[in-house]
Amino acid sequence: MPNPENMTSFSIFIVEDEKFYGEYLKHYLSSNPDYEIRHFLTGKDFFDNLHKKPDVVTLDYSLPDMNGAAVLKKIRQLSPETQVIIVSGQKDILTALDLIKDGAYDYIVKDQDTRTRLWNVILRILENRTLKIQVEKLQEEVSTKYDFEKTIIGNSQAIKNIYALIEKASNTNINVSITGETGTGKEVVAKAIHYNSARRKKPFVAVNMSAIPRDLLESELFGYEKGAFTGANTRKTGKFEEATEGSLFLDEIGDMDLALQAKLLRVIQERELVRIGGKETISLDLRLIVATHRDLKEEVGKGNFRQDLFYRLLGLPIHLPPLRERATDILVLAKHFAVGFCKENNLPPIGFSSEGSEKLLRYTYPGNIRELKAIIDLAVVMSNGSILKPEDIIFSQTLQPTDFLNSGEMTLDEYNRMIIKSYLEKYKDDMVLVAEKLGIGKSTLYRMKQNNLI
Amino acid sequence: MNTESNKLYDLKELRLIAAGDDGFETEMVNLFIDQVESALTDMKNQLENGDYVEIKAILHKMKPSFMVMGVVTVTEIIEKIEKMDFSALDKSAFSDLWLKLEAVLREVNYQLRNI
Repeated sequence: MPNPENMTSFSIFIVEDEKFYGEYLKHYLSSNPDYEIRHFLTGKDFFDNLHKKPDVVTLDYSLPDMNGAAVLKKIRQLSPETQVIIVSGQKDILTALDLIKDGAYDYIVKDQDTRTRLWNVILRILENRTLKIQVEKLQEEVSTKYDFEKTIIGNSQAIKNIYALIEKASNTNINVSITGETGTGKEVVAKAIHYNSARRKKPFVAVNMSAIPRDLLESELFGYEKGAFTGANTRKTGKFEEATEGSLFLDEIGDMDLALQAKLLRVIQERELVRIGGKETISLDLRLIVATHRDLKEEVGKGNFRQDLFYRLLGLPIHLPPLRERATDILVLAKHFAVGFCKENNLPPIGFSSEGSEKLLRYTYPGNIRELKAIIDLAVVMSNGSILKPEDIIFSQTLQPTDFLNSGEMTLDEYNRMIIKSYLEKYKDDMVLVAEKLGIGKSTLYRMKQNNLI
Repeated sequence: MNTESNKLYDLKELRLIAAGDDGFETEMVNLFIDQVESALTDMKNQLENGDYVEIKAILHKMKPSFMVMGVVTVTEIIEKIEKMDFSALDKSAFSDLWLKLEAVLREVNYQLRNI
């Protein structure tokens, strides 16, 4: 982009062989002190200076030494970011359309209103350039924000495995399916994949399938044409089209009904769609990332989810373990949230008492990371000092430490394994210590580990 | 001295753009006079060569400048010339328009030199 480092400098080259008229336009546009304007009388003189990459060129269509269409073509090749406005005495509409088709920004006929129209068109280009710079800056910021090792926090082996999978997904174009309980950070992982991939400068579009009424979901996803149904007063592009060249994140895919699953399957297989009520086929180029808190394989078994769609969507599966299975990350996350909350609210830094830390470690977090964040935010607010004490840490009244029993129906054996895994995480795989803490034999633990039961 | 009634130009647009910059205004008036002189010489040469299309091109090129200088009589003549069928040109009609145009332009330049 021309002059990106200097928002106030905006260079305009006027290419006009009629000296009087060129100087007239130059003087008029110079009334904006932010514009740097040069006037060239010949195509040759102009091309000798094009390496300076002007922001805008106003081009007289009929130059003595070159044809306007040829000049435009050459500018597009040598300085594609430069916007070209044709200023011509010719009122031929077909010529104007051809030039705009070939990349001219606008076509202005020389008449009484030329200078005003030229002024407005240049203002529009300037506004677009400013917006483009802002968007690029924001994209850079978002990419930095999703440096995943800074956003997906933890030291556990489980998190390290997830880092590796995110990296693998980011480096390719494979579809990704993310599973995990609510609050485990599925969307954060999806964004981390997108913003670390080659598609990062294109849109990341997220759709929560369970948040949109079933009868609206199809039009939300695939869009519709004007008049497709009652109330379709204008054409609407769907989320698939919005995500062109980027990533589409379909959250809670397991909640999608079977009829729409069939349509989704067809779109994914064909990599193209037709808007509702439309005829035009739209090609799709996007990465699909899906997520669900359900066990999709189980849903396939129950007949609630199409098997063919399941395999289409599976791609690279990433399972996010619940927080209770990565206990070593609880305090790391708690400190991270406390630091963030204090910073956001201009509060002095706060630490954790050992009793407070113990209390946090004893809880099972059925709401996972989202719940831990809420607990820490509240604890910082409740605290009266620089250290968080047990009384500052308030778990939801409806969720007691033993409520993990209600987080899903499991067998006693599964509960046992969950508890043992939690202790192994907590005590960094120290089998002797875990056996001692739980009052079970070391050999039992070793046997379970060997059989991959824990 | 030009009186308002016989003035063949109108500097309203140029003065609006000059926004009080008298130097710019004078420079532009002189530039216009020079360009008109040069265009008249070119067009006379083309007329001798019988290249009427080239005369039309020169006039077409200068038309926006005439608009800026408010030389309405000339823009009207140019529009008439632009509408002529150059594949079967009525040379007599063209000659009439040319004579009128030349006279007006010489008078415009005369008036501008005597502002």
